[in-house]
Amino acid sequence: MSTNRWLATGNYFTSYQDEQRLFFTHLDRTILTMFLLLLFVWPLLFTLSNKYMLVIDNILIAVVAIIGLNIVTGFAGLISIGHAAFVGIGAYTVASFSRTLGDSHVIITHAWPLMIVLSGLTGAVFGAIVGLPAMRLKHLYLAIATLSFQMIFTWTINFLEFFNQGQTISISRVFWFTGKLGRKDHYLFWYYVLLVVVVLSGFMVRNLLRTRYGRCLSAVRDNDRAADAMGMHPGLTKVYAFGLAGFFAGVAGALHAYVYRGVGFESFTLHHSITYLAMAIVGGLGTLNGSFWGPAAIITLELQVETLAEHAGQILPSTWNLATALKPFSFGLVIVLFLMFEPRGIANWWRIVRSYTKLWPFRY
Amino acid sequence: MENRKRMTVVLSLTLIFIVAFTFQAQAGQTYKLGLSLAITGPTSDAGDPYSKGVEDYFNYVNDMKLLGDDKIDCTIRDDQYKTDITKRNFEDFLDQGIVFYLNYSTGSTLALKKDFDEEKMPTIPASFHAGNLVDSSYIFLPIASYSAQAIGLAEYVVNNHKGSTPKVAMFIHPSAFGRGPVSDVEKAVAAGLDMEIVEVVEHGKDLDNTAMLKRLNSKGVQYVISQTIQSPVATMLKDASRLGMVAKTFGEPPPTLSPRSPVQVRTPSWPWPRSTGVMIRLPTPIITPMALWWPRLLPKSFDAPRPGA
Amino acid sequence: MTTLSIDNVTLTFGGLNALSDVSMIIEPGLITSIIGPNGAGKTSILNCISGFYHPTAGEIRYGDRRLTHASPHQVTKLGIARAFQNLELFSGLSVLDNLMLARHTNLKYNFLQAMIYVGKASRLEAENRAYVEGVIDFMELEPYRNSTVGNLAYGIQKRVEVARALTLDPQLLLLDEPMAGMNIEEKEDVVRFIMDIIKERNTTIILVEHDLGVVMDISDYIHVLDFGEVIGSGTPEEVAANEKVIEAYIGED
Repeated sequence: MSTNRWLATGNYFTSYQDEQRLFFTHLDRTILTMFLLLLFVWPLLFTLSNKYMLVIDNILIAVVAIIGLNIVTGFAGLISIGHAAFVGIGAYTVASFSRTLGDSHVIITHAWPLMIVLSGLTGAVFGAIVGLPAMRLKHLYLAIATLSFQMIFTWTINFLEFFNQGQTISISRVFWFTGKLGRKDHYLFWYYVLLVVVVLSGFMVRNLLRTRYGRCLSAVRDNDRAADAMGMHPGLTKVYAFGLAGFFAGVAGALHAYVYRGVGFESFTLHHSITYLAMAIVGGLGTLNGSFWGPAAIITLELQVETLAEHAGQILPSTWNLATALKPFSFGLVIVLFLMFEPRGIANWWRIVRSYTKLWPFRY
Repeated sequence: MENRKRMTVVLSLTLIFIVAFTFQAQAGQTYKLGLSLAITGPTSDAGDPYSKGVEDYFNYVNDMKLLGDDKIDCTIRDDQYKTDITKRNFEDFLDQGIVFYLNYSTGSTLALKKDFDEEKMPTIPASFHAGNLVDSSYIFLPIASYSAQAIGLAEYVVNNHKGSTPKVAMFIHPSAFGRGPVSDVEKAVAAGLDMEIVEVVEHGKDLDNTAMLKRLNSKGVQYVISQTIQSPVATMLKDASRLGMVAKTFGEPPPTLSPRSPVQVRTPSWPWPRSTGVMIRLPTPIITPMALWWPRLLPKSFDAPRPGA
Repeated sequence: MTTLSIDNVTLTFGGLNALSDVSMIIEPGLITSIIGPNGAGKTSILNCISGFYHPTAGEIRYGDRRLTHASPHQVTKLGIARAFQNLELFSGLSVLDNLMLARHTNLKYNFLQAMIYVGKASRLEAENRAYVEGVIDFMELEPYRNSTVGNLAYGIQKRVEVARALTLDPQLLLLDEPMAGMNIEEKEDVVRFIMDIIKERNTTIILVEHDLGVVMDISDYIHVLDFGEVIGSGTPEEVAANEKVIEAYIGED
């Protein structure tokens, strides 16, 4: 074994516990640590306008949601067309506190980490309930069951007076040790919170995936008869997958509520569910790092197309409403192109890039 | 030598330009405004001409020097009728240093109400939802709220109706914008307005309203109050006239239906195209859309045809 | 050691009897083969034992436990493992993951420990990994440890299938045509593995196989099925002399 661990290019494991390491070389670990450090430090070096801070926050919220969707759709192979509804469940958990206790009650403004976890748990409960049909239904039939949950969710929010009929329910600014957050720090503060949440859930899921709690997901995806013969209950495993996905969705929902300081039903519609699905596909289903690529790619694309549509709207005749079609069109096109040419998503590009860089300096 | 001479010329020319423009800029102030609205997406059939109206109007203000040497620079952004994007646009406008904000949808106006207050940012929304004014001091409605308009229409119906209690249906947009006035009209009825609300219809994207109209007819509905954008009402009107449900008279002759004629959009001092939010008026016993009130509230220079004028 | 007893089991699919009144006793520590022509009900018997089908009538007992209405994962927990006839592997996962999945019930750490992955989870993973490595050694799968199962050759996949059943550390192993579609050398390999399993692990084996030569060679006891009924049982010699069996296999003359 090389004495200089910086130059170690391969592994020389001597025990099975060694092989459990997340990073194969010291260099790998250092690069990731530096990258995470950079993510935490850059806001101190220069300030980004609020607009782009909001965009970044938005991406991170989507990342949390997509980690959940990837668990249920990517790893466990259960198509969920109702993921935005689970995100909505999280957001409306916070909102219902706001409705009953007032939008600046201590629980909301001071105990916000608790609220976020609570929303995650609510999401998990609803996820498990919606996952119950998975005990009997498969494939498209199950997808329709999740779709119906999306419909029921939107309908319920829209028609219940308690949820303000889907109109915005406001959430107050939260308190930090320095006191109430000001308008200027709002997005930066939530950027840090989101970053912590994303890093924590990233490591958490990474760990889960190499234990029985992660392997059982891939087992029911690949062959649930055999999974049954391995001594796990395939139906309950699917319900667990939905529950876990619901947890991350719920956390994402609560964060959405706090970042936007309000909850309205239109952020949790079928359209958003499809968008989440697209993010998962474009990022790479069944990969953890795909959960980071997907949201970043789709939201950046959306921004670009928005600008394009805006310009197009000035030129194209408004009666045909062509500019309106531009966004869904480009969106659909991207999904189709990825499904045709890179069904394994951006994560696969990342894998290829990594295998190129691995050659230097002689990993093998 | 040659080179240096050329250099001097270039430099002095540049200087002259800079000085000239600086002086021009100093001559008047430029006020930055922002408008976020649905150029694409839901309700864009109203939002798109609205954006063109605003653009043309500020061009007009600048060209005609209505503010003297001062100028208005209004940035217009598309938000696709989505609150999330509106919020992003608003943050963008704040970064650009706007002094006045124009908003569009009801949902986003209600959602950003607190931001307007915190930023002390005067805002005129295209939504006249009554809830905009609750707990907020920086949203200004140039005309009566949707609720006031709808109640006004209801009162108009009650005052002009002959015979027993009029039966009314409400035809609304499936959003906060559409639902806004319903509860207020219901309150007015509860408070003694002699009218019966038979049904509240939230329209979808139907291209045919025959079934709905026949249902309303069979329930004995005599008036329909609309709170939506133009295309659903146009669809409904088309079907209603085909079924012979549109009555010929109700006191006054109908005004011309040209909400989007270029003359109006470019009309001085009133940027709003008439199509936003509330509808063209068709004073009939069956269909009574909403815009009845608000031409009266327009500035004097507004010379469009007006009911009763 | 536990005895598996099948008492008067009948399995009906919409009026059609897949098994009718089948009784057999599987003695521990032996290789018991079930043979019979196509459609005789061999795989149905295995499905009934492993819980994928539930008998319409009759009873299956494993020691003092009733398996009649147990589901597959409950049967697995009793120490009965099965290698499937048509490969039922987790084709998207590596050989290692396939085998680690067979240790699912042995990994007794909870969700939180799994999330943190330090301490108990890590230790148990390493322990079970060592066990899996033992099976990999035993089945000579070392070169394929990290390959995706779906990309492996058919013979190797069959071997992974057996290895996975072994990883469950069963007392009773159900092998459903482990040699189907193999050439003579591959068959010899599998026979060697089966003999090793019996010798080193003292596992009871139920073998369903078409290759009569192999069955006659290695079985301690044989049950012959035809049209869902047991037409003969006994040692290989007894069965070979049974007239009904000869009739079923060769036909009337």
